[in-house]
Formats: sequence, structure tokens, C-alpha cells
Amino acid sequence: MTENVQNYYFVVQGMHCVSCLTKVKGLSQSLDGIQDLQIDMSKDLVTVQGLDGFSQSRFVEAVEGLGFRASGVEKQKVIENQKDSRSEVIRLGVTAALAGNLMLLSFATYAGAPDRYNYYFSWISFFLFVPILLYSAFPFYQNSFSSLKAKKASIDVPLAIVMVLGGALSLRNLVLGHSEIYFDSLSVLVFLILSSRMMVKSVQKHYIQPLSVTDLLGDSTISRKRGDQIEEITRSQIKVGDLLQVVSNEVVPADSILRSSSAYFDCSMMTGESDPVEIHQWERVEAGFRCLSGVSEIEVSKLPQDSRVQKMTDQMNSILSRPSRIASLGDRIAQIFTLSVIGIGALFFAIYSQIDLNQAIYRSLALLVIACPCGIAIVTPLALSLAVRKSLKKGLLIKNVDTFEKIAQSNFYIFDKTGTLTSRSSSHFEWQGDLPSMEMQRVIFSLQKRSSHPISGAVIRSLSPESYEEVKLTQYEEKVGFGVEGEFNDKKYWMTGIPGESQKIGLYCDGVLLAQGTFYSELEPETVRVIRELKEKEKDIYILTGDQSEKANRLKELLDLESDHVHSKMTPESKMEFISKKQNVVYIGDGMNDALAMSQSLVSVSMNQSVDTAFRVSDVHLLRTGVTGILDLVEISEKTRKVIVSILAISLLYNIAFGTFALLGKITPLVAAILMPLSSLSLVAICVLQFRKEKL
Amino acid sequence: MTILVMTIPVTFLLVSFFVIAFVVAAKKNQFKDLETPAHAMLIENEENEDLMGRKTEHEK
Repeated sequence: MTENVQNYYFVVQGMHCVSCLTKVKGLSQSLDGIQDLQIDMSKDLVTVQGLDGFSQSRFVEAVEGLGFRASGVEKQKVIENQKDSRSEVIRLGVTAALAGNLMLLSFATYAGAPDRYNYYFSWISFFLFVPILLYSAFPFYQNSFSSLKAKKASIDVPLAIVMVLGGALSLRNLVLGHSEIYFDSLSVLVFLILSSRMMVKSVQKHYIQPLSVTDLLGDSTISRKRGDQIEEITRSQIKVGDLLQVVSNEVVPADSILRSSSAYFDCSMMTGESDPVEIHQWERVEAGFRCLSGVSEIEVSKLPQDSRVQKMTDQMNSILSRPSRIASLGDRIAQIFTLSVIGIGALFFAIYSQIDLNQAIYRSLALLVIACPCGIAIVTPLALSLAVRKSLKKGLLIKNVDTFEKIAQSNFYIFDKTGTLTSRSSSHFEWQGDLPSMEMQRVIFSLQKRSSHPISGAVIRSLSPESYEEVKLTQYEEKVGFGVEGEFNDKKYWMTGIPGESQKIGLYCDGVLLAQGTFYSELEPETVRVIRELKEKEKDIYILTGDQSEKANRLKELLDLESDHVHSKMTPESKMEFISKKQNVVYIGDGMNDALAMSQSLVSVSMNQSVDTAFRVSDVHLLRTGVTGILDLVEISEKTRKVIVSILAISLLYNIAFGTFALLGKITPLVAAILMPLSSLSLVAICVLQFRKEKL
Repeated sequence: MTILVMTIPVTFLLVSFFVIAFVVAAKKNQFKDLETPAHAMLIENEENEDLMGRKTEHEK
């Protein structure tokens, strides 16, 4: 054996079950150069013992082809990480053994052992305490040292002070024969803090797990057609131009064009629309659509990684994996807290030491132990990440965790009208009298086809399908709010609203009205309900639209809004200007024309069928059709705020109450050491339970 | 109470035995991954190796 065996490490995300395991494990057979492959699901880690022929990039490609997300990791990092978590476990175990035996000895004291024994027991306790002080509590010293170096006060600083001072004081009392000895309480403190930290770590990992595309797309293999043959390929092997076959219940893996005859698809994942949608030959099918009938043939037009599904999951993951940002709020509060506790402790000590030095040390120690803000620093980020999770379940993609805080502050809800309040599918267009001539219909089709305005869709749907043929237009122009125009056969055609008549659209040729019809845009009953409920919550509702004022007026009546709350003929720029005059605005929109306004508002929400730009700019993206998600968003934000406020309140109350008791000398450091981690754990429990309470 | 002279050292012997056993187990990665084996045992495999990369008893 002269071959070189080397260990390669990969983080592979998305392995949840037995079949995932078998699939990844199977790669050791199907790929070259793998001598052995080990999977660690708890850390999402795959270790490959690779021979000379092993290629890291090929392995990553293959794993991603199976539908997982994979990336190579540095050997050094993995080994350090493994050592870290291993030493954590050892530290906890050793501490448990030492602290447990130490407690046994102190029980004898509490039970009233004679002084003679007490003296010996205390010395034995001291020897058990030494490793706890030097070894178990070592992370506290390390953390406080590095945080002090960065000129911050982490919650480990008071802990380190307590350990060193308390240990020194107890040793002094032991030598002098006094009875105030705290080895037991300090040991229990260390043990409880170490174990609660470990538990929180595992809770956080459990709740903040990254999503992968396969969670959304499933991970079936893909059939590619090559000539007459069908070959099975994986997602990463898809190339633009490939002819793929999707059978019923399979999900389209990449944005494509439908090549076979029309078929029904379930587009609910991407559009939220639950009814099956008929897609015609040569129309676009998006990655994420599910084939409902028969066998369809599609031609790939974009690589899978360029699809919207991929972008969405990427964005979700980047939010979920940004703990530093989430933690910042809790950290800030914890810092203020820590500083004030140390301040109060020092002040108390300075004053009370004039009266009784021993008691002064003893009571300020109890204060430092009991008033640790661990709860705040740990629980606030946990609450926020739970809220993000919960929102996802309700069909809200939170791209910015500050959103929850901000929503609670905002009073102005500004809606874009078209596409947001009025949906694309619920509108239709009716011609007055007969349909225009076939040639005219073609002109109309060509005029409207390039516009993304919902009216255009309705107009096109009103034409006969035979006219779906583009004629050559020159001088084409779309004027926002004033229709579309273009020249054909030296005549100028213009389709726009008829002045003075609401909802009517006319086709003009060189200024002469050729044909007209009415555009009906239905307001979903849901939309009316959302607006009403927001009004009940005393929010100010505004509607900005690019439409003519007649339509805006109708909307105003339907939604029962005051007249200065509906603004028509708004351009993207004027929308932004409007928002910049208000403060704390929540803007809900869907189009290119909303992106500017969104960037200006405090919180921006993009609708399900939004264009890419709006999706990218917004803080929240609705994964369901319609605006009902807004209510959920408001509800979750209020809930989250309530949870955080209640956690802060409980922990503040607790700290003030017990802190006072400690200063009055009513709480021994032992009781403090038990109460402190208990409070942290109870706060975690309160937080998780409050979010669990309303199951969806 | 002279029995204490006996029991306390015995306690320490026992404690050190268990602590050492625990540390050895941890160093042998017994606590490294508490998730995968739970799933891996559900796989019926005729292969010589299980998913953890260790030899199983099926070895012939």
C-alpha cells in the first residue's frame, strides 16, 4: 500500500433521515478514490478518507446532486471544533462529579455535623474545589479576558470575579477557622452555568437549522432526454438547453420552457395559487412547479442555481445563519446590566465594608452571583429566531429580523394598489360590443404583450386566442399611468383609459376611438377584511396607485377610506417622496415601481408574485398570495415583542428582588447559585412555550 | 464515626475511577455524535461496514 490516504471534511446540510444517510453513504461506491466515508448528522459533517484519485469538487458536486448543500471545510477548523466540543463534554462531566461530591460533604454540615468534622470536611471540600476553580471555571476567565480586551463587559466578568474572590475569601475563612465557606455554592454555580450553556446551544441548533433547496423541491432524480434515450441525472448536471422529462407529481428542477403540449401544473409553492394552472406549449415553467398530469417535456432555460427557489432559500439561510445580528439587542442590554450590577456591587461594598467587612464581601458576592443577565443574553436571540421560524410556517419570509421590532413601531401602512390589493387573476376585461377585427386584435396583443400591468393581462385574455401573434410595432412606449402606444403601418395606436369614465379603456388610432371596453378588477373579500382589521388596530392606511383617479375613487369607496388616503397617478419617484414625508412606514408592494418606495420605508413587504427587484429590496416576502399575510406579520410581531418584553420584565424583576435580598444578607451565595441558572432555564422555557402555545 | 476514615477515601477512589472512565470514553468519541447511530441502526445492510465506518458483526 503506497497510496496516500487523506482525510477530507465537508459540511453537508439537509441530512435528516435514514434515506439521506444511505444516499450520501452510497457515494463511497459510486465515486472514485473514496476509501471510507463517515457521517456525523449531529454536526452535519461528512468525513471522507480519500485516496489519490479523490476530487473534492467532484464530491461536492455529487452531494449537491443528491439535493444536499455541501461545502468543504478546512481540516484545522474541524479538528479544533471537535476538540472544543469534546473538551466541553469532559469539562461538564468532571465538574458534575466534583460538585456532586462536594455537595454531599456540605449536606453533612447542613445536617448539623459537629464542628470537629466540619473542619475536616471543609478541607476536603477545598481540595475538591481547586480543580473546579482552575479547570472547570477556566472558560469564564478566558471569555472575560477576551471581552475586556475588546473593552466590553461580557456576562463572564462577574462570574470570574465571583469565582476568584469567593474562593480566596473561603480559603481565608477556612484557615482562620471561620464558618463562612462557599466552596459548595461556587461549585454548583459553575456546574449549573456550564450545563445550561450546553443546553441552550443544543436548543439553538435544533431551532436554527438551515433549510436546503431540497426541503422545497424534494430530491427526486431527474430524467434527461438525449436522442431517444432517457438518462438519469442529478440537479447539478443540468445544463441550459437540456430536454428534461417530468412525470406527474415531480417538481420542475429548473426554470424551463414547456415543449410538449399544454399541461396542468401546481404552482402553489411559487405563487401560492392552489388551483392547478394550465401551462401552454412554449410557456415558461418555473422551478418549483409540480407537474400534475402525464408526462411533460421541458427545455431548461436557466441553471437551477439561478432559479427563484434557490434565491429564496439562499436568502432564508443567510438570515437564519446570522446569529451575531440577532444577538446584538440582547447583548446590548446584557452589557448595560452587567456594568450596573458590578457598579452597584462595588458601591455597596465600599459603603458596607465600613460597617462589617466580612458581611460586605459576602453580600456583594451573592449579588454578583444572582444578578447575572444570562437570561437576557440567551433568551432574546432565541425568541427572535423562534419568531422567524414561526413566520416561515405562516408563509412569511422574514429577511430582516429587526422587522419584528420595527413593525411594532409603525403606524402607517401604505399599499400599492395594482397587483397588491387587486390580484392579477381576479381581474377581467370586457369589450363593448363585438371583439375588434382580427388585425386590430393583433395590434392590441402586440401593444399589451410587453406591458406587465395587470390590465394588459386582462386585455390579452379577452382577445381570441388566434390573434396571439405579434405584429411589428415601431415607437413602442409604455407611459406609467397613461397606457401604451406604438406605431403600426404608419398609424399611431394608443390604448389608454377613457377620460371621465372610470375603469374604461379605449383603443385610439391617430386620436380616433376605435373600440372600448371595461376593466373589472375585483377586490378579494380577504383584502377588504385585512384593511378593516388594520384600521381596527388604529393603523393609518394609505393607498398609492399609478392609476387614474376614477379607479382610485372606486377603491376608496370599497375600502371606506378617507379621500386623502388614496393617491392616484403616482410615479415610483412620487411614491418614494410621499413615504419620505412620513415616518415609520410599512410599505406593501409588488412591482418594479415599488422598489424605490420600499427602500425608503421602515419595513417593506413584497407580495407573492413580486418581481425580483421588489423581492430583493423587501424586508418581508409573502409566500402566500394575497395580503392576508400582513395580519399574521403584525400578529407575530406583537407576540414576539410581548414575549421579549415579558422575558425582560421577569428577569429584571427577579434580579431586582433577589439582588435586594442578597444585599440585605437574606440570600446565601449557595441559594443564589441555584436560583441564578434556574432563572435562565425558566426564561428559556417560558420563551419556547409561549411560541409553542399557538400551534399552526 | 471512625468509619468515615474508611468511606471517604473509598468515595474518592470510586469517583476517580468513574471520572477516568468517563474521560476515556469521551476521548474515544463516544459522545461525539448522538444522532447518527439512532438512524443508522435502522438500515438493514449486508455490507461489512456500517455507516459509522466501523466493522460490524456481519463480517465473514
